[in-house]
Amino acid sequence: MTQTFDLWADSGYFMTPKGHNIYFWGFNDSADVSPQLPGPTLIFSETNEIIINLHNNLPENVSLLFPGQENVQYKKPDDTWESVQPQFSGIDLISLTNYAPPGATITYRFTATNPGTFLYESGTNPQKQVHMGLYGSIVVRPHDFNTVKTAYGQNTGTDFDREYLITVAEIDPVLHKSVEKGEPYNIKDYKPRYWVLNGRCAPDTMLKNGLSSLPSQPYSGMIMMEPGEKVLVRYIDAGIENHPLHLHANHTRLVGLDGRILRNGSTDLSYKRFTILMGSGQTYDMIFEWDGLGYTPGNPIPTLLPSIRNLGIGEPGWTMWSGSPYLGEKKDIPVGVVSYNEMGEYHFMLHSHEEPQITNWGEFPGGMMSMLMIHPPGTLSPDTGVIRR
Amino acid sequence: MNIIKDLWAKLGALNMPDGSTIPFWGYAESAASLPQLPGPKIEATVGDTIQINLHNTLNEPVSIIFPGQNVVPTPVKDANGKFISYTAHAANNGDAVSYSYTSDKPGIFLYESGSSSERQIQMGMYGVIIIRPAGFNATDASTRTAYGANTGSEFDIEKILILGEIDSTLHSKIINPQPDDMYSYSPDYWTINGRSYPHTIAADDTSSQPSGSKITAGQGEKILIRCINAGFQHHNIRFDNLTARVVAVDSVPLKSNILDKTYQKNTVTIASGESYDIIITINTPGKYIIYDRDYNHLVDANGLSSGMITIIEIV
Repeated sequence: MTQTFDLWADSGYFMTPKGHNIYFWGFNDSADVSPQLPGPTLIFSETNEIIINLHNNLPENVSLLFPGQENVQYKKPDDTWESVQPQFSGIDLISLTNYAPPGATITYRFTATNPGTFLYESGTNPQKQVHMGLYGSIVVRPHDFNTVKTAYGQNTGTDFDREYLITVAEIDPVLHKSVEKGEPYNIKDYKPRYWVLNGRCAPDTMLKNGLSSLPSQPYSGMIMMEPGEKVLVRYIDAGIENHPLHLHANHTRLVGLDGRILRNGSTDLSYKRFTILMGSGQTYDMIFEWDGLGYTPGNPIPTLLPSIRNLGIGEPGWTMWSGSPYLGEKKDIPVGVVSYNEMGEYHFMLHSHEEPQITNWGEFPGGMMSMLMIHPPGTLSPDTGVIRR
Repeated sequence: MNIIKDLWAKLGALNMPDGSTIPFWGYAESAASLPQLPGPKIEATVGDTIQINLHNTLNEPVSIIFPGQNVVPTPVKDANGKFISYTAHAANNGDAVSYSYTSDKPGIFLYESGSSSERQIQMGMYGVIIIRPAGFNATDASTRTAYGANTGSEFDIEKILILGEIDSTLHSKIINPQPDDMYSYSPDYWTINGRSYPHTIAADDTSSQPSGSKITAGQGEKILIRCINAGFQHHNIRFDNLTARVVAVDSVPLKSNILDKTYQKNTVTIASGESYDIIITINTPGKYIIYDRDYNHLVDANGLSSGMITIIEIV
């Protein structure tokens, strides 16, 4: 089978929670809408032939790199295919791969040989274009995905009930401004002030998918699950710095790196971590299960109180407290405290432990942070935790 | 066997692609020869005795430490108990010191300054020691491995990539000398084997930066890439359009007779001081770029595309 995608590279604006509109370059899959951050999530099926048409509406050459895919080809003007190659001007490396000049289109082709999580990003002036937002996420489904939901195929220990994609990056608003004003761009001056998770800064990360108030940032960063479920969390670091991300509440099991399963034949190489140091340009697939607070399906009333640290963010605090330690129960809360617990669920932070990164230009809370919500059994729709375009 | 190597700690000059010349401290192979960045490669086989004689031509103490090697350091303190060197040093210009040990395991290891290391290593005082497994013969495919039989480390072609950074302002301050402090460490050049792109893909030569890092291989050949980070920053080394197999980390092989823990990666985070041995086999002819995915390390002082980039060419 062949899957064909069209991506347009264009300029637009995204918003921070404080209302700072920042100029960026990004991808979208329609010529008629402004780009989004990250670009549209591309979902492939293993073994399919993938064709991607990149249309360049930007004032400089743009290309696509597909790290983790192999034997990528591009279509030559005479409609024959050739392996992509780095592009040189003399000895200067001007692009890591074949590119589309302004106003032009380039077509790439490859076979999705491996299931997993991948990045796509510009390979031309990447020190500028990737930081400007020309990146997105790829999920390759195993060939037997319709039989059983797994990250890497049946009997690989990667079964899951829900899945979430968390793609992080940094924003240096001064450099973005330089591009907007057509001024020199020097990555040597790189000094991020915002840190984005799925293109949003906290607390916007905790809002829903596809809000009209965030037209360029359609992807929520909230992870929602019920006790006893297996959640596949796919981390991607599209930034140019490393980020130590962790989910409070439990350790998580790493099952794949850069779209390759941690398994050699029958030898399981998966391992548990609490904090994962996400390396620039790399991906991490993990299976998360929650068994905290003494909770089991047979003992639905936890025997331990949640840690107060997990009940609030910032002032006035306790905003994630339902008034009761019991999952699914709501009780009185202290006067003056706003509670966001609609169903008596538990909230646990997901954030970069390099904590200057959980600010918006220095102000906490913000940045590379979101929440994991443990919902009472039976209260989450099966449509929650499904990765879509 | 006894491997005896003489190294002279000397002042030299680096030539960068933008035309600038940067003073550095490095190790030379003789009193008359140029210091090198990285220092001269030292190669031995497991069981060999390695003796290194370090001659000081600088105006401060110098010494060498051997992380990961079977060497017990003897720290040097001054009369007031103030720490000077991690291990025995050559205190003054004209002094010499010798180190000797028996290599006990195969792998790739840094040797680097043990005196004012925070200043001297970034000044260029680092190099690598390659220890071959017992029975290694480079011309015999059956014994040409990084770690011995059944370690999944057989190779046809080997390339060592030593990662580093240069803060040209700090180099000038230290040489001149002016007051300097490491809090201001802010590299403006990123190097593989002491060179920035496009110098990285030029041939080996007899300059102070003698080692290119371009890899030329045939289709299907097993390329062993030995990445070792002599810099202070971590680097995320990407193998574009390729999937590499990590076969050893910090010279501990990941495969044995009973367990294969090698794994595949497109991009590998290499922290300061770490080493990764990686094997790649490529079947499609063409050029493949190896670079630091930290895109701010692909620049030089003038912000041009440069820095930590090299190329594999499959012919």
